[in-house]
Amino acid sequence: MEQPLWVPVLQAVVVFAYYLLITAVLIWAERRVVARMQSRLGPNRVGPFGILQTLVDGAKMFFKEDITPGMVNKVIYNLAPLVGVIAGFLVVAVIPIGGEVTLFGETFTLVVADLSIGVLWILALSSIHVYSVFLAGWASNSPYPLLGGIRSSAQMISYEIAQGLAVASVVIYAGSLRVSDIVAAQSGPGFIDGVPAWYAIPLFPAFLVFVIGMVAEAGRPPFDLAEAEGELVGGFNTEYSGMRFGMFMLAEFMSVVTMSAIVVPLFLGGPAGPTFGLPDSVAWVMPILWFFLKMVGFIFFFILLRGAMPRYRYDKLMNLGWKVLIPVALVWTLVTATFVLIEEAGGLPAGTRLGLAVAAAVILLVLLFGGRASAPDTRSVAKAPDITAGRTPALDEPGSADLQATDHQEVAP
Amino acid sequence: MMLLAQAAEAGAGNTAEVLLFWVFAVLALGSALALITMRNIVHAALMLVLNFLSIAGLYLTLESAFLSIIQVLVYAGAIMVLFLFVIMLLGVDNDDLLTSEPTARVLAVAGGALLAGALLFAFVGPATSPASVCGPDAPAAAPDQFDCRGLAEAYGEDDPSGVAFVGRTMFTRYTYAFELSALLLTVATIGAVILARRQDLAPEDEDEVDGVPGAPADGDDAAALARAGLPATERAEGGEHHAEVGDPEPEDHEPSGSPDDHERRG
Repeated sequence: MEQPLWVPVLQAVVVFAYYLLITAVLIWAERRVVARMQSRLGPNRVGPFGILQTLVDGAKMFFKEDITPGMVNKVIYNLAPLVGVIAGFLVVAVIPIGGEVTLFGETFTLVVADLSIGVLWILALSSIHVYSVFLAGWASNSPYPLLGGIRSSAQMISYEIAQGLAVASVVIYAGSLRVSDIVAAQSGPGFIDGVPAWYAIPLFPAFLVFVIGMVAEAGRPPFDLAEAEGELVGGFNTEYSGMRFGMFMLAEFMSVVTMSAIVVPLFLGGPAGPTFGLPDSVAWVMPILWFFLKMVGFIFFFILLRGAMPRYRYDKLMNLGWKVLIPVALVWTLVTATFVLIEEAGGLPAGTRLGLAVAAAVILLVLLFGGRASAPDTRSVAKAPDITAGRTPALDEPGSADLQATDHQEVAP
Repeated sequence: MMLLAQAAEAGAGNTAEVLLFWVFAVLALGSALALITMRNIVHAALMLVLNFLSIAGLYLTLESAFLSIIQVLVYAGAIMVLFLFVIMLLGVDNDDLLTSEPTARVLAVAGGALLAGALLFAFVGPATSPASVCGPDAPAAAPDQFDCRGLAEAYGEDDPSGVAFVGRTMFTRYTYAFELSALLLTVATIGAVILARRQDLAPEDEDEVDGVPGAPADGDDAAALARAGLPATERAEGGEHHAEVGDPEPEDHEPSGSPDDHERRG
């Protein structure tokens, strides 16, 4: 490279600082928005609108007594939060924050490293992140963290598969694993005039699976089973305190930000957006702004979900992941691959394509609404006895009794 | 180690590459040694993760970024996670240490040495000698039978990380191997599911209400359970019709595993 050394260094520093800053603001924004949804005020003491609350909380975490319980496995107990934070930070490396900027005669690409395998990098690091969760649960050597750790690692593994398949259809469609290539592939004209060629439209099922998957992957409500306070205390991080606990929190919020940032280049055209005919001296801001707005939209979606949705039950979560999201993503990967092959072979005439689209829409509607009326009835007659029959209450294990109790609670309005 | 060093020097592009090679090679060997000597099974599993990561690093020094990231994704990210998952579900404690018989240890060392020697003799030695199929003194016919290009050459300029090359090779030259291994994995998965179900249903059969024959272990168990449960259908419909009660897995696996854990720990 002809670039002087300080250019990539500056790029890296700026990008990391950017995402850290957004994480800090996110924590404050989330508390404010959720408070507003619950008719409270939220943090409003430190700085204007309480915006410095996160800083103060961070400082508090830092100076709090750091208790290491006696029964823990020290090495792994200390390792776990580090793994989480490191994995969370490294993901950022392949995520852009906007197009290119020319300042001081140097061109800055606003990404740390545009790897040729960028998409796999994201997936690999989010699977490394799982280690942090269940190592923390195991090393704590205490029942609730262990259960929380097992729960959330099972959840993350399951949803990683769905997410990976969703990403696979993006990769097949774009023909590259490089994030910037995927962004470039979405820059052309779309199927319909005036609508951008963002992958969220042709790959809508994959987009949906990815978004649901990323909520589960980040361990956020309504999928925050690891932290089901009523059942598991704090989940895998129950035995942690002080800055180590802070690291888990940082990793969690960081993953909200990085997930929101990942989905933008993959499905929403990255930094693309109208520049409104601005002169070049100002127009370079627009990609950054567009990227920021799209990302913030997703962050806001995360926050709204937290404020609006009750927590899923664990078995329902697993059913959703394995029986809905993974099949949908898998089928859509096949459909995408077929489509790409057809396109390579010369493509379909417009009429056939329209007909296929209508047929697909009809099938989808039938699947969505036609099946619902009959399916639950047959199921509950044929399969419900799995739980209730064959076990007398006296012989029930405590675990399943608990589950049945929650069932009834949920049924009661 | 000598051979490894030789291999490194043969392919050395620059000093950074050699340095990285040494770091990852030492890490890989060290973590492999630690893996088989550590007494705590979770520590050992983590050493295996470190081993996989350093091998991924070695792939990276060979300029094969795709293989490297797949190594991390598949081995460190998926397989080892499942390994550790099983270890934790079995309720291994901090102080559960592995023990081994002295005779077994001697046998293991002997077998390992034998295997390592055989591998070195059979593969590494010939591959690094000048007379090897891709060496300077190669027999004339060899280059036709083997692909004697370096990775960077094989991948080509458009495909520096080797994604397309690996994909093409896997689905053309090695299609049968690929499909067979996929089949093998599927069979193994189905087998594991069947084994797990049989163990799970066995106690349930004993609990069955009078007059109902024990359900077959797998196959038509759904029908048998439905027969067994007919009197209880009302209860099911009244209480839990909106819950996805059909799936026995979360009900049976999770809670029945975890209370045992408690007892064992407490």
